[in-house]
Amino acid sequence: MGVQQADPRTSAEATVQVKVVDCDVHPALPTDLLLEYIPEPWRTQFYSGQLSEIEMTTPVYIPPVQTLRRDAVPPSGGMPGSDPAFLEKQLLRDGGVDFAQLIFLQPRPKPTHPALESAIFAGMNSFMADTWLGRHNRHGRYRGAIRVSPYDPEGAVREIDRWAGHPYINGVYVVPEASAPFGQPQFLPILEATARHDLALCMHVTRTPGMRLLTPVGHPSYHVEIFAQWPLYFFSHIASLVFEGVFETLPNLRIVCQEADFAWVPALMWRLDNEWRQLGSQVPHVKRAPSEYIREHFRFTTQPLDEPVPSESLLKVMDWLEADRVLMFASDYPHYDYDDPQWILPRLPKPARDRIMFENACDFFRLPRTRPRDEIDEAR
Amino acid sequence: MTQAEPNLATERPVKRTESVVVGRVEELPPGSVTIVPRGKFGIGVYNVGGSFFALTNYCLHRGAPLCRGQVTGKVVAGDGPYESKMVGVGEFLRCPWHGWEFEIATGRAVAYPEKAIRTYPVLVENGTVILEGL
Repeated sequence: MGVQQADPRTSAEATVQVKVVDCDVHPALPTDLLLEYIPEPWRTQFYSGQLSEIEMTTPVYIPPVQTLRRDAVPPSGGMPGSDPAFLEKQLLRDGGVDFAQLIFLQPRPKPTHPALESAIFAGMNSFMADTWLGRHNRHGRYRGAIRVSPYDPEGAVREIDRWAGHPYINGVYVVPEASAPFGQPQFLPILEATARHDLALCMHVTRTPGMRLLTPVGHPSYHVEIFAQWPLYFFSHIASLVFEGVFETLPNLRIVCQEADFAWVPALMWRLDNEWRQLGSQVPHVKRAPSEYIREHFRFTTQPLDEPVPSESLLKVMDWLEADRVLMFASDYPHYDYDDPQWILPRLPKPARDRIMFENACDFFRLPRTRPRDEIDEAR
Repeated sequence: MTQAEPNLATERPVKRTESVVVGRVEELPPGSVTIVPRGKFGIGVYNVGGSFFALTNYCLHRGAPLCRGQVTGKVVAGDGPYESKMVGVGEFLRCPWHGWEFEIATGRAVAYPEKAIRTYPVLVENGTVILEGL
């Protein structure tokens, strides 16, 4: 221990160049920690007196393997993603992640009851601000999206206004398993508030129980079936947001499709462009080709990365997509289908590497390109 | 440290493998896995119903610590349509990340029989389990 040692904050190397932004990270939120943030009467009415864990017993499709990485169980026990020190070690230190965009999948959506859903999500947002964006965020490497109920637009706008300006909140998270496509007028106040505060709208499948798990042909038997169909939610919302003319009304609106993979996006863009050229008279408020709106206003995260055979086929898809413009890296830590940044990086086409690993995310999520050196860097 | 260092220089270039004692048989009961810290990733030594097998602790798919995965069986098609059954419980290993399954005895991937995890021979001598081929 040298007394002469320079303060790392003032030395020449006090800042670190950002190299990896992880756009999809899920800390666990055990319900007992959430409860104190849920306002009455909901806390007592909805949660008390339950014999089992209500947030975990909602009927959802479950993968046969495990939903969480077995090696991400903290040494102290508990759910993967529940121990801030262990998440820091596995993701920030070993994974080399500079900034992590947090998406809380608990509590599960309550779409049958907009007021209840709004109240629970407001509690979740306060929990996130106190903990992961508060006392667990001494290094400032976490950013988060607040969750709002699309079925309570007034409450959602109030919630967005409440958190706007928070230094670590840069997104508004809506669950895409919705009852109507998001381009329709009832959702416009939410989109308008998101754009007005320069936040990104985040859509992440959350396995909403009940009717919203439907595919166009009903309920399939297996998780393995429905997992591959989750992009259908995004098809519908993207087509709606484009053809309702939302981006003409809100030219600053930015939307992130998380954990939806991306190989389907070029096909959707080709199709929408064609339809628009032929049938565009139906939507005179749409001024540009759909693919232009999509490349400007949407970003797609890399995970779960497709693994075609031969693997080079993925490069063709990235080329069609203009991946350097629209893709952003995501690991999905601590879920079983985690994509390790150190594994993904060398497999990306060289000219697009920096764009995908951090530059697109820095632009879209308004992140700085450098950050202060911290003790996690020292521990690497 | 041993007193007399073997003269490695004279023994090369004859290809030799090293071995390491994993433990006593009674310390490694059926169903157990012991990760031996050798090589870059470690090697998992499994007792499957009294027989010992060893696999590299590195998944060929995405590089996960494979031997941290669950020991399980294999689901195969049943006798009639819409039927399936579980066989070989205790003989298969499931990766902790993406759930790829491997046969412990051969290292072979269940879904991709042409792919396999590197295996190592394991000897049992006088009740001592020895990992070989290092």
